[in-house]
Amino acid sequence: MSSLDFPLAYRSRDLICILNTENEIIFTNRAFTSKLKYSPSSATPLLLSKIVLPQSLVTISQKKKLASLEAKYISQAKDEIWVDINMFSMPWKGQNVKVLIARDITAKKKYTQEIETHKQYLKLANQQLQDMFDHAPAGIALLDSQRPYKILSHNRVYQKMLDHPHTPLSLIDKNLFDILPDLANSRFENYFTKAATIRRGVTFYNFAFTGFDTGPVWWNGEISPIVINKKVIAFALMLIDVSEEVLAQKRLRQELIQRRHSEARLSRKNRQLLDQKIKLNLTEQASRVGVFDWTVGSAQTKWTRQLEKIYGLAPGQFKGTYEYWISLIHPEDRAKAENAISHALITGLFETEFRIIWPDGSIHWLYGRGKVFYNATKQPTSLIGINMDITNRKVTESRLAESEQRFRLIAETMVDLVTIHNPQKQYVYVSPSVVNHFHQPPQFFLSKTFYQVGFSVRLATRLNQALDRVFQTKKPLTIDFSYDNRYYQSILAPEFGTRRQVNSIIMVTRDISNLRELEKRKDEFLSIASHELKTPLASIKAYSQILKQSYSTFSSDQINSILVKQNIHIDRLNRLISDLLDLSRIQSGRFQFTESVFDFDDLVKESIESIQSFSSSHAIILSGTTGIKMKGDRHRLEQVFVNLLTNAVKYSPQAARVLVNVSVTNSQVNVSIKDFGIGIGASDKQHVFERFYRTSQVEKQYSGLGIGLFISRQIILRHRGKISFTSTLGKGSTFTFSLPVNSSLQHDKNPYL
Amino acid sequence: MTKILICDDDEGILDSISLVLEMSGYQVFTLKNSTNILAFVRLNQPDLILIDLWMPGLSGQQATRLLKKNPTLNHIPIIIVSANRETERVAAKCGANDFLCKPFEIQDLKNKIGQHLG
Repeated sequence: MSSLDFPLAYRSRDLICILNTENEIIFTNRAFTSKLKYSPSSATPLLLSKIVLPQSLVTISQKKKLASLEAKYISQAKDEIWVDINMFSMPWKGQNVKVLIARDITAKKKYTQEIETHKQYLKLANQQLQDMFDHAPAGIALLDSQRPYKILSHNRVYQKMLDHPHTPLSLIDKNLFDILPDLANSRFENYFTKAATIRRGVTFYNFAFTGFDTGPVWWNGEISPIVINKKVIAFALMLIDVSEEVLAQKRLRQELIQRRHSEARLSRKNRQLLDQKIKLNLTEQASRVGVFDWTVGSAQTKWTRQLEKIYGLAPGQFKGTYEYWISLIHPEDRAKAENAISHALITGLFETEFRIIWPDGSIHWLYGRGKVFYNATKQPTSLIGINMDITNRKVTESRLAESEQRFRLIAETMVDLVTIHNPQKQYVYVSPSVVNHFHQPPQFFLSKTFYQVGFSVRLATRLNQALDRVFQTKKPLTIDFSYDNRYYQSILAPEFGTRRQVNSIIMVTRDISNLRELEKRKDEFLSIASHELKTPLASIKAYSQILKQSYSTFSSDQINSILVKQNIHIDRLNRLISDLLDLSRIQSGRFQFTESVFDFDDLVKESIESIQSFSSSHAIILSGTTGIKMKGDRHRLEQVFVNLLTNAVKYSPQAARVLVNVSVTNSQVNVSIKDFGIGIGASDKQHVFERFYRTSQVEKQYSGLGIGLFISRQIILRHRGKISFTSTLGKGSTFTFSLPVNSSLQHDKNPYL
Repeated sequence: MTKILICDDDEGILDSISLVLEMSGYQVFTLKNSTNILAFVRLNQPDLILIDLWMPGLSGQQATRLLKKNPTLNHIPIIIVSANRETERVAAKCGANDFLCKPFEIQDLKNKIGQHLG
């Protein structure tokens, strides 16, 4: 069998082979042989099983007639070749053979596989894109191309960024400008127009949006047009909330401005100092100036006597070399001085400041200045210049810097408000305390007058006049003023310049509102206290005068009745004084208790009886019993009863009864005292247990010190009990307290808990 | 019989002054709450009123102003009796005829009453 049998097949590009019934390959064409590197020889027939995988072999063997299939040929070099096989049977040379015409589809297969992989990648990328869209740190929304920019889709962050009380739950299909009406017709809207015109994204930074009621926010973002067929079909809006950064930057900028301001002051001081030095008289200066002449590149340096003196050397002691000069310089400044020299040789000018050490070890500051001279070939030949002792200046400077530093430290840590005003009466410095106190940044004040910072014209004029007076009299001044319902005291002190002129005025202002308030309360307390003490005293005095005038005509019963009445008022006076003493003891942490075991019901009855004895207007009605033997301070608890009952009677002038109930639950006794009086208003409720507090109904109408409930609460707390009340204005109050039956007294004495 | 009204929220004061004045032969009315003082005065027509400053209802100052504004009652002398530090100033301000600071001498009280009853 040879190529001659099938000349066309032989030359075909398809891989063609012919199998006999034993699946032996009895013919291969040129393409087959060259691709698979097999050439059949009669000695060892090539079996189909060798070149196809078993599965394909089965298929091929089973197919009787026409068939087509995909299979994989394996070359001798073990290369895999994907083939598309067309197969048919025919009789040939007396036997039935199968002709396999295979087309190499490896490339196509690979390509398909690649496409498949790409598809996978695409899917993944798409997924990632979606993820990015959803989880990006920026809010992204797809908007309709026309105003009012309907939201087509958006990610979660976008929803979150616009998550404000008035925002609808879903933003899809809502108009951007319905959700953010403040943005319509603003700079923001112009970005859309611009993006649509230039067909590119428009980026914006730190766009301040104030439309939320939660305060301003800042956005960075981009508006990109989505263009298809040269038409803008949508906008992509990306927003990043940069409020935190912006706020941080603002704070930083404020700080910088403040710092720059302090630095400016410092350098102004320096300049003044320098001016002053320059104006120093020449003779004085001359005596401190020494001249040197150095031949560049040589050891020859000439010094005047004065220069040697400046270096602390005896006449003729200077060795005349560059190295010797260097050795006189303070080691820390040597490099600086040498740099100045090499710099001078390039620029022609020598100027520096450095320290030297005298032979006696003292350190002196020198200022050096000189000029380089050149020869015809522009080579430096000599450096001639002067040295001047500037130690005094340096010391003053550093002292000044120190005092400036100290001033700043004091001004910036002071609770008092420190401001500095120039002769134009503008603020030139405000301390951080001012910034905190008025909640305004330094820029709000700097370079402004009192008239421009929100003070009333009257106040601004007063402050201005005060500054004027200090500028004229050059003497400190103290003024008091009130602003925004607070009281302030300012001390204005002049800051002098070199010619005793007032450069500026330092104003130290203290908020004395609390002090005033305290003084006012103290005054009120004293006035009430004296009233309260005098009232029972007036009765006692009246009774005693009646006795004195008429005891001879009185019966013993009459005398007795007056003495009893007098006694009631003496007791009342005594209670008042005890209350005042208790108050001072509570405040100083010396509120003493004496523990005993006593019958609680007896205590209740006695307390009620003692109040009932001098209040005929009200019936005090007791219900319930406890049957409890209580451990605690009997006297102090009686104080609580007397106090609450007195209040109940006192603050219900129109009523005729007070209800007292006692009970026991879970080993604690409960007491409630109910009146039908004036009650306590909502705004007063949280304060009634405070010292000196008297409700708005009580003030000016009822006598009292405002300490009874404060003391009562302390006593209950020390017994580890609880006290509270309910009240309706105009209907009455119910005070309730409960005490544990078996509990030791608390010895922790913090009265303000 | 001369009628005197004492208006004070302090029972001790009411009781002791009543005792003194009754012993001196006056007819005494007491009022613990000044809210209805106008009606009370109109009804009982006292010849003189002693009134405290700090009281539930109307303060002594308010009550005095009301009485002094009333053309049919403003002839009644009013003496403010109070432990308040500012009694004198307040008395002058509200148009009271006189004042007395607690604690007081009974003789002073009697003198002032006598003086205003003329």
